[in-house]
Amino acid sequence: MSSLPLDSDLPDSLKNRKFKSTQRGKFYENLVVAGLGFCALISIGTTIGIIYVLISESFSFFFDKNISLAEYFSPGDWEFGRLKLEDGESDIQIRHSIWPLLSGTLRITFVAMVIAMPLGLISAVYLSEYAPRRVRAILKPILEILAGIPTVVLGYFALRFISPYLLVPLGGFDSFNATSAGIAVGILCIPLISSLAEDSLQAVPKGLREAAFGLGGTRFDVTVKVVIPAAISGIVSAFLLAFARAVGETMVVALAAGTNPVMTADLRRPSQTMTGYIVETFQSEGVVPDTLPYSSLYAVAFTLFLLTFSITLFGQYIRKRYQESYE
Amino acid sequence: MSNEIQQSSEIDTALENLPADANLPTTHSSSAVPMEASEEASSRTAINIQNLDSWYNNLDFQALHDVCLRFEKNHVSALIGPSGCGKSTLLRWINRMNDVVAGASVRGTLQMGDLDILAATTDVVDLRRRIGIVFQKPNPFPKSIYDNVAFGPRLHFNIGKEELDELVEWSLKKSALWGEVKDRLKKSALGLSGGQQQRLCIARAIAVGPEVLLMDEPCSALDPASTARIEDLIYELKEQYTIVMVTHNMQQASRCSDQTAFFFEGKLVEVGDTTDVFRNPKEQRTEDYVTGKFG
Amino acid sequence: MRTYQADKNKQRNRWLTDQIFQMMCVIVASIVVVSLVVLISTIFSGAYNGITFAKSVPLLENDAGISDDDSITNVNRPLYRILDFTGPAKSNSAIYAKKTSESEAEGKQIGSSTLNNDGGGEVKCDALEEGIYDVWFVIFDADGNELQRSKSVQLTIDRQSPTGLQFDESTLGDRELNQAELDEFVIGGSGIEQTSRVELNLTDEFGNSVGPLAARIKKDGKWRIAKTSLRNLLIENGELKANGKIKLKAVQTDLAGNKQDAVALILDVNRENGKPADLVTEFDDDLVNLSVLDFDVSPPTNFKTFLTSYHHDNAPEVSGIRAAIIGSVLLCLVCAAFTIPIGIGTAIFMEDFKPKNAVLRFVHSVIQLNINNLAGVPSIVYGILGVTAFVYMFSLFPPAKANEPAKYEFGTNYYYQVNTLGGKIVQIPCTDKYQTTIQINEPIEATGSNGKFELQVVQSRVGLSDAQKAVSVKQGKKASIVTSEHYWFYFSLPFGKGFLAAGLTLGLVVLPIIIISSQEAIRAVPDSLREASAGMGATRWQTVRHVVLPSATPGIMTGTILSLSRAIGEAAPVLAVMGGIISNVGGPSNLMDNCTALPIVIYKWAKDASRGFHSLSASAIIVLLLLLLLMNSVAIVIRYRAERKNK
Repeated sequence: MSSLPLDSDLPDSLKNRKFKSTQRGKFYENLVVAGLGFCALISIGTTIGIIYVLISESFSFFFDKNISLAEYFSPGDWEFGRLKLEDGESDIQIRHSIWPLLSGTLRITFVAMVIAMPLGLISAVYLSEYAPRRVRAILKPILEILAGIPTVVLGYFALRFISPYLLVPLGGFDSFNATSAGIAVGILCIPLISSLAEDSLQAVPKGLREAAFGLGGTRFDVTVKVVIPAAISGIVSAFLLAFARAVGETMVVALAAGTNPVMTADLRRPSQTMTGYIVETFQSEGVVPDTLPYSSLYAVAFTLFLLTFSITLFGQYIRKRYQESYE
Repeated sequence: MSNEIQQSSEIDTALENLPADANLPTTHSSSAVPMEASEEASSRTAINIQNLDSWYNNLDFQALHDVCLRFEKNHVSALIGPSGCGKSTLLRWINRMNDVVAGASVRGTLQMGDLDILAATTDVVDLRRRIGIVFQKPNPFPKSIYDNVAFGPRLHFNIGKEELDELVEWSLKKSALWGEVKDRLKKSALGLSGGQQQRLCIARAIAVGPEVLLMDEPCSALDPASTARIEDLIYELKEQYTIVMVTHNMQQASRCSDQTAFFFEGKLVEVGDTTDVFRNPKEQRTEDYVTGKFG
Repeated sequence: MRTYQADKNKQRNRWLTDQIFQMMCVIVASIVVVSLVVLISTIFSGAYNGITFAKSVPLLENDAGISDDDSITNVNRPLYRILDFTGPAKSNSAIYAKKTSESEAEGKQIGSSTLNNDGGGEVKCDALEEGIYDVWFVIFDADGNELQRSKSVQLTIDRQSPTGLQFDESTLGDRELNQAELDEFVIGGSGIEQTSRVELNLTDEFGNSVGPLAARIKKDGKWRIAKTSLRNLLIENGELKANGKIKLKAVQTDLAGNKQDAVALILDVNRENGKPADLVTEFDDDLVNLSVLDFDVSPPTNFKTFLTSYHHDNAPEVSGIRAAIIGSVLLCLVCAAFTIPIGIGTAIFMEDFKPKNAVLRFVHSVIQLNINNLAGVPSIVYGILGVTAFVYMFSLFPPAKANEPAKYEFGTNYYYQVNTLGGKIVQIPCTDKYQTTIQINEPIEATGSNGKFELQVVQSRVGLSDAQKAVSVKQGKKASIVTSEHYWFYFSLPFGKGFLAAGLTLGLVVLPIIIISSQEAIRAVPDSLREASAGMGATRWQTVRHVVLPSATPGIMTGTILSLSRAIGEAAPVLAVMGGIISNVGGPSNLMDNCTALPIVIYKWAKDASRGFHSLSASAIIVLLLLLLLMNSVAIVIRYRAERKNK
């Protein structure tokens, strides 16, 4: 096999090398790789689990004799409370149009986006293009702190401060309303938009800015006419991701938006959302598997999941497809 | 663990369909060392390369064309040539480092003694115990100096603490680094200067007791003083090891090596004793290169 | 050659736009900062109302009974009333007054009341002379220890001369009332001295008297009789108790005790047509009793109580977050134990074991896409998955029901329990937990307070000694199944609604985040190190273990800690799995037991109707934020030290 150098100053350990076996190493290595692969499979399993659970239980909801798909998708009411059985007859009043819950979700998301999109984008622009170093050193940590605040805290803020002290005095607002929850969700989404948009803005190479400055542009010109268009794919994807986040927000709406599904465009009324309905149903008594309210939970969750998943996918697609690559 | 040579099925069929020398440019060099069948010659040969072809990007680009070459034991062989001529590729095939490059493939004979390096069944781990490699930019691990040198032995040997200490000391002495670091073996290797780090990498490589040392432009990232020290080191090391060195620096090649091979565009143009190649190159292109007309 | 005139106007406009835009940016940034500041201060002020670090004074709140400048005129005998008291049972309150001009003087107690959960009753205080007073109250516990002292309110005593008391005759009179008119019927009047009392006495023709009824007093001296009290006194079964002419006499009594009569009024009730005369008056909702000082008190707790006590319904001053902290810590541990190995393993697999085969590479990119998308799934969906997968386990195993134990369980004992004839309780080992009762027909081994013995069976208890009775039962006696306590390692399939299931669900929530951040940390390790290691003959796993992981560890740890801090703040999945039970829950007693967590108590307390719990919610938020601050600081320190080491 190998011929060792004949130099006599080799230490003993090299004169008689006690090699570890490579066969055992091979086996061990394969074991480890299998174990790691198994770990990776768990993430796949999670998605499969989510899809399977949602679909199978939604099936049992939609195939129940009391539920019609048409009513689910057409505008109407959402009510599950009145399952009465008198003398063997069931007096079931179930209205199961998804529209009230959907409109609640959309109302709150609308308010949230009205708040988060401009504030988030302008913060990102400010941080990336305008802010002096000291301001950046303060503003960035503050945004990170905002991002780390748990959602229940913002729910408390919405319920016990925004609503009673800011909104109700304006008159016409119910104590549970879509606006206070929307504002809180918006505050939640600002850091998300800000950091993603800032990354996209930073990714635009300096050369573009320098060229524009060289042509005599003000910072505003450069930012609005050169940098933002160059980073637009990332910005739009940030908006979409924040939208998905707002749609999926649970605790803020559970606290501040009320438990009344109403289909209206009025922002001053309570507006239970899909997520709020799910949380409320889980907490109410008597909701056990194989009852209709329990399955309704899954149908709503499935709708929610489809909505957020497709928005997230779309956001990633936009970012990849329209991304300018600068070498 | 054996790494298979990564070939997709299309490369397989492509290679099988190519006849041995059809349409492949063969080396023109008449100074390529011919195959000698004598016992004596083969016992002096550390590494034997015959008809080696290599591709990147799934046969898109051929990096080496029909290379035939021998490296003698306990000699320093330098591979020179302009950028992109394939010398680093050749080096990396010797210890199968190109296995992890997706789309790289090779054909031909590459032997170390009786061992067929390119065979799919070859134990690559064992191969790399016998061949050490030092890279262009020093890359010590972010561990202590001691742990850097001890990395290989810990990985491959069943070795006790005292033996390990002895081995580390020996390796560092052999790399001319011991005096400078013996008081700070436990400190981070990143605190050393560039030249010291490269010597550390050499110590790390020889701690496993290889027969062959591969060096890929070992001094190109270093200052002249460190370069000089390492060249001296190479001169000492060759008594124990066979060294194959890729270098961009012709003066370095002429200073350090016994044998020089000049590559151009993936083909071996000329190979021979260093003094001959530099003073009396047989090929015109060799002369142009060593005199600096291009590069 | 054309030259272009620089348009100064346009230039200036552009410069202006730039400045305006910059100002807008600054405004937006300030809004963001301000909103965070407002958020934090809201929480702190909410907490302040509930938590004191030392005994301090709560705010004294009055209802609309007090006029704007917090003083009351014409009171020389204030009434006071404490609303909405929540505190230790059998507490007392006492009210003190002292003249404002005498700053040195001690206050004189002018009234006291006992307190229950709805507050205290109305208490008439001692009379005060004219003057300006500081009035405050003190709350004592049952032993007379002072619990809380309020701020003082200024009270002005200023007697006015009384005007005449009158009935409002426009609404009364000699007439017949139909039902609708009866509903609108009002007995009221005017001319009342502020803060006096008006009482109505009714006597019918036959001398039967009913009353007195107290009247409510409006601001401008008007007074009215409460509808319901009048109705209750006069009407029975829809019919007037009295008949014929009813004499109504109103008497005003001021707080000094002076009385004044009103003119008596005759009300003629005609019942001929069988129509009941419903003498109801309106109760005017904006009637306000000016003579009452209403105190709204939620006595504060202190910090120690807050941290160390469990939640008690309706008693915020003795509720605390102890159970929540225990629960959160346990959840975090379960989540970490599950997520960290799997997350890091996946990251290693995705980064350092990339396949070269085209098919496998596609699978690899699918897995990566999947991980990225999982990070955006709402946490409530994970909650649903957790419920189905961990709580009910896809209904693969029958769950524990009310009288049925779970089929697969471990760590608990069942036995049958029976009373011997001597009245001792003994336990009989149980072999089949589904058999809920057994009949004892033969001597059988049992365990009692003295250890194991053989339980005897007898036909009758006659003639047995006490010792014999203690170890015997009658033939055929039934013993029913009882379960021993679950040991701490109690384990059952399915997991049921416990913190194990909740912790695993939380693990799923943060798994994508850990994977992504670990991937970034691993990617940050330069490839040259991997090359060096490979060149030395290390296999891929050896490279990872000895070279990549040690370098990537600080980044991985930072990512892990940040993910765990996210997990601690998540309420939705925990709500879904365990329900939001916060009362009667201590720390969990075994693996499958329910528990509560910090975000859950925050949620429940913020929703609670009583204001005491709102303050507790804010305080719990502070604790949670401090915890997060701690974890983030640890992460920052790790990152800082790692960066320093690499320099």
